[in-house]
Amino acid sequence: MIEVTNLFKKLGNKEVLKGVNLRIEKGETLTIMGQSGCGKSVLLKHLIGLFQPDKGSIRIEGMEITGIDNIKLSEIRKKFGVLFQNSALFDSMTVWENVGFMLREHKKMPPNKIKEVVKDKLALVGMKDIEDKFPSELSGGMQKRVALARAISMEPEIVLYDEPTTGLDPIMAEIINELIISLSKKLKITSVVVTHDIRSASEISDRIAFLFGGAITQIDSHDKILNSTDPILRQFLDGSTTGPIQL
Amino acid sequence: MFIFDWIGTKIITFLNNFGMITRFFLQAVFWMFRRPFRIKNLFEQMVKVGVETLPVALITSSFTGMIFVVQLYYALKGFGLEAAVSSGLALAVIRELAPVLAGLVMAGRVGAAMAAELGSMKVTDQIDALKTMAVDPIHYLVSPRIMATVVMMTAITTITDFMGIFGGYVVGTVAFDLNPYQFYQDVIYILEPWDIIASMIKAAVFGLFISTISCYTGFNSKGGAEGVGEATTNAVVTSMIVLLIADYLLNLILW
Repeated sequence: MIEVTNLFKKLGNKEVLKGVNLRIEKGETLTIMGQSGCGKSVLLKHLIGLFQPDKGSIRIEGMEITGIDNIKLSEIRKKFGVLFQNSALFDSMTVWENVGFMLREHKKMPPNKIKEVVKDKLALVGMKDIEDKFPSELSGGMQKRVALARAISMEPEIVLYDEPTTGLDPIMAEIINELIISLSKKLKITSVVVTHDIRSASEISDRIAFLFGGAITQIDSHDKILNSTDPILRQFLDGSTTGPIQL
Repeated sequence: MFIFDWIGTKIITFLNNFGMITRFFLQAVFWMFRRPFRIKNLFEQMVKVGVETLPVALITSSFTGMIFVVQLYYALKGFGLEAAVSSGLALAVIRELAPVLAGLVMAGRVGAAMAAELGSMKVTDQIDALKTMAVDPIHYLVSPRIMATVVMMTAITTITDFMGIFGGYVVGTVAFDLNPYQFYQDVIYILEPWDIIASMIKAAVFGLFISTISCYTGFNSKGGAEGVGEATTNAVVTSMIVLLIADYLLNLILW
């Protein structure tokens, strides 16, 4: 379980997070939605300790991760898998080196065993015979899938997805959505997804949280969120240029 | 008052950067002695640093040695001191030219490459990805680069020491008919073991500054391709300036 309490963060002169409260249950898929630049990715980066808050608390499985030393934080990070917006594959490494990176670093496995695990993970995301390619030789969608295979290589308890479908064509976006759903079910992982893709959010989420003005203003099942009559949320969902949201 | 504001801001920025880079360096040193030792990364970097620098450093030092002998010969001939060309060459190359030229070449090629590579990793989230995979990026990326640069800079300077003198020897004996045996004897006579050791110490310190500054600049690049370009330029310019200041101070300390 992830518990965020009263989280504040200022970047430069801008107060990005102003008292975020959020509780994510074990095994659920929660999507955080909001306008571009509203602080979704900043919130996500707090969950894995890439940012330290100015104030507030983040507990992962009951353990406070704000202000702890790097060695303890590293141990907690092993529970996570992260899919970055632009995949963030290591461009000097092949696909198999990328996907097997954490296994090489943290598990004392022989190389042939690592290759087997890498093949299995790539099969889970529908990829094969690309182990020796470099990321630059893959399309954007293929890179996302390889990055997803890397994110689940250590069988994490929690996977964070930062804009998983941004920049992909609708078919590839759908493939990624299906992968997120199937991986959540197969591996029983807690998923936190940051996106402004409403269609994607409605397909993959158990619950949706709406981040607005630096705080979570709405959180509910995807049906209730998508049918909400709240004027701010309604304007966002409808993509209207007129309404209470100041553009 | 404006001028005092400006000076104050500059001093604070300088001290802030100095503190940050020192902390960055100390973290890299801390990780050098922690398991797992990044032997594979270290050797990869040593090959990269060596291959990128050695050919240019060799050409630069041997031609500088050649040109130096030409200038020195004409300058000393007027006083009837042509025989002192070899001694002057040996001291200038070992104490000054070889380490500084190798350092400038290293800053231009390796420093730029390091800043660009790490900067590109920073702006494409690869450094954050390392952190999320419970691997410290300074341990994985920076410590091996600093060690490799220090080791290779020392090795390359030792070779350029020799090549600089050899270049001067060829020009002195072929173009100016200096006695080859006497040339060799004068070089051996004037040089002391400490000159070679001090030259290597200088090289190691230059390597340390170049790699630390370049890695730090790359790690702190922001804002896409433009930011990476800016970081690369800053890394090279700062490394060269620091190298020349360090050279002056090391000359005072070592000799």
